[in-house]
Amino acid sequence: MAASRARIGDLLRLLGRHGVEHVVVGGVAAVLQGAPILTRDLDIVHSRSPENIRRLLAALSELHACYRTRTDRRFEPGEAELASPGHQLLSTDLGDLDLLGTVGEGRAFDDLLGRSVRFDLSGMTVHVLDLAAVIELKETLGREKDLAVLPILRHVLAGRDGPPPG
Amino acid sequence: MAAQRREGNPLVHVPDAAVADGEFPPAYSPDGVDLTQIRAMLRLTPEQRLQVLQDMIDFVAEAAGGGEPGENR
Repeated sequence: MAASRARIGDLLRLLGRHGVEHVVVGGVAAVLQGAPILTRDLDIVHSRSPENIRRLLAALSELHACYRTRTDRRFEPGEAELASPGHQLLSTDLGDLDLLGTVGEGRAFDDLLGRSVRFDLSGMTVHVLDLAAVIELKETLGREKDLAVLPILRHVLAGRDGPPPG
Repeated sequence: MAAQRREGNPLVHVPDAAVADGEFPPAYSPDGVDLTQIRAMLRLTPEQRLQVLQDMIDFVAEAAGGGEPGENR
């Protein structure tokens, strides 16, 4: 399956239209809060309640979502995968979508919701992991790609919560 | 050179008169982060920031795909 160009806003709108409960994490969360960084996938931590998984499956069906593989064979996630704490790395008609059952040290949707902020995007409410929590998460993960953006995120946080970064 | 004194980076040009007026906050943090980009993003709404990201994605996708035959690459 050829990779589709990411259309992050459309992806968020589609998830919203299906009523999928989720918290946006990762690079898109950072961008929405002012980080001048590039990311080309949408990372979300979804509620793993049976009702939400059903809604998520309906959204994934509309998106023709399948696992990102090196072959042309299609593997689609099912209820069992979406109910797991693991990560489902998918390709969709609207770009790459990473569904994370948990992040960091086993933090799930309910754990993150309290540390999220709500954004209104074209009349749609989106829960986004607060930038301070994004930074903590990337510090915990400690991967090179996370560490590389940490200086930028810390300056954004300082600029957002205090006087403009100077 | 005023710019060099303020920025610690001789390549960043800031007009001397503007430095004197305090109109140019530092462009870079001591650890090398471009603060002008952060200020610009923080002035935008979340929806506008998402559009900035989309514009970058589109640009990179078009660049990665190369131009039409005969175009400069």
